[in-house]
Amino acid sequence: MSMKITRYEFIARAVDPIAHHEENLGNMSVFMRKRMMLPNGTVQRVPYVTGDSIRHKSREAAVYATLDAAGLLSDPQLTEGALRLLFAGGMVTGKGDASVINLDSFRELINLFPPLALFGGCVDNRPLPGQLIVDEGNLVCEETIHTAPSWVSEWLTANGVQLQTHRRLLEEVTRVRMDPTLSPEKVKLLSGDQQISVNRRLSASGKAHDDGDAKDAEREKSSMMPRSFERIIQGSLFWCGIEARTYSPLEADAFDYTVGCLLNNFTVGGKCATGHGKLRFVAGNRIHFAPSSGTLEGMGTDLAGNTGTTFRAHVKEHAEQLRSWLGRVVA
Amino acid sequence: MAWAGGSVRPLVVTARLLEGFVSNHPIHLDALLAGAYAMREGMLVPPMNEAELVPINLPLQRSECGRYWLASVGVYRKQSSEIRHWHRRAPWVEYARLGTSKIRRVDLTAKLDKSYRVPYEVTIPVDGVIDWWCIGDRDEVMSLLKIIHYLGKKRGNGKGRVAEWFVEECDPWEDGFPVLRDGLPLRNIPSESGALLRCEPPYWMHDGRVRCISP
Repeated sequence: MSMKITRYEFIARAVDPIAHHEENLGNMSVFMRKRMMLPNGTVQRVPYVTGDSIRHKSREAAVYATLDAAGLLSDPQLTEGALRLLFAGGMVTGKGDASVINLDSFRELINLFPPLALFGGCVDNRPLPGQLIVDEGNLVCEETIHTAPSWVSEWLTANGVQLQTHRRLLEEVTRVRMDPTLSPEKVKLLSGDQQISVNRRLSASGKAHDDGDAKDAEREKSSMMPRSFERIIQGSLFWCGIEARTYSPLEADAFDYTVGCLLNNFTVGGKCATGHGKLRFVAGNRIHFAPSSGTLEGMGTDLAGNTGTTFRAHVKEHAEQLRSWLGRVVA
Repeated sequence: MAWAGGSVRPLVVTARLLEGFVSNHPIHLDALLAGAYAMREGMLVPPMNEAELVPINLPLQRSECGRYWLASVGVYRKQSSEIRHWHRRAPWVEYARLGTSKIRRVDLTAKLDKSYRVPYEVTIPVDGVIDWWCIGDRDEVMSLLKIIHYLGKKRGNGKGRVAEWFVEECDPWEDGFPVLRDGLPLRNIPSESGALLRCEPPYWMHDGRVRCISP
């Protein structure tokens, strides 16, 4: 069993604006930021996408790819424990004997579900360490470029991309959820009693404003909800790295396929239902650390070719065993 | 167990980080080397107790008492730190879409599906630099450290990313190199007083803890 470390580094372009928030201040959502030391020694808070978020997207991609390869997506009927393990890494359940390592069981586990070896998880009351590391999604800007791999800077220069400060890549927008009772044509859809009630409330609200009665104005106000949020502007670039230790060709292929599935439908953050979060792969490199060290090769075409063939064939061959195992797993 | 490979010399090991790191405890150099060895040799299931421990011969010198390796914890000056949170949410949408009809209720406030928002501290060292000292075989130490690309906890989501390692010979200070400096411990050292800690890897294990003075 020989170890191989493979690392993918890639640049992705925000096809949509990115909304990924850390907290709300009143009705304002603040974009996720991290403290970062700049080359001049000062510390700044810079927007980024958390590694947790991208890792979870990778996990989802790997799970759906495996269930699809096993033909289990048409009628999954998974148990709660199986779902918790696949999509959230499982839990220490208190059922099972964590003090005994059953190596056969461990081997069966990662043989039937190769991505589990990569992501790790908690199975049969015992945590299994993962072999996958997902970097944070770093915004390509003046403040972060010193931490990016050298090929990223070279790519930016070669493609005439001018670096901006992160402040120019962040914008604040406001959206309003409307109150349907403020629209006369929608009020007509109400029952007679309800129409009278709504019109009475609107009159009372107007009168309270005219009289300057704050208490009544508050009581009779509409349910319109304006809220603002920060977002990274459309077209911005992010760079990210994903790295895994693998111990067999099957694990290596599962890793390649997971990265391929992630990048094929790469979304991060919230507000996906309203045109946010889509990223598109622009350029990338695959780096092999063993047996030689640090050799780079382009990753674009290779990922689209035979990647995943071994993995999918293996999962398909063991589909029935996988279904049976998922039916009894405690996680 | 003593290192039977090449000659051992006083060394200073330096990591330059590109991301802040997360760790509630000092990071011992021998723990890093043992972790790297375990990864390289495919020892994938961590031992749960002393009976399951497989002895690892590190390229370091043992102490005179033979109870610990002559290697320090990581030393750095803190530039800045911040609190971040990790979250755990039950995949209740997947429960509904992919689960069996026996799943009828998901309790997000208790038991197995409880939601969590847990704070943790990310530390940024000055210049991104952490130093360790040891007496060891330079080439072997370097070859093991090359496997380690991330340090501390939360490595799985990118914390503690290492840009490069430097291993250089150094002039040892007079008393206690590399485990004591100015009379203060630079690693867990067995003692008659102090907290119950392990004095060799894996430091997270509860079995085998003894009274130690520690940094």
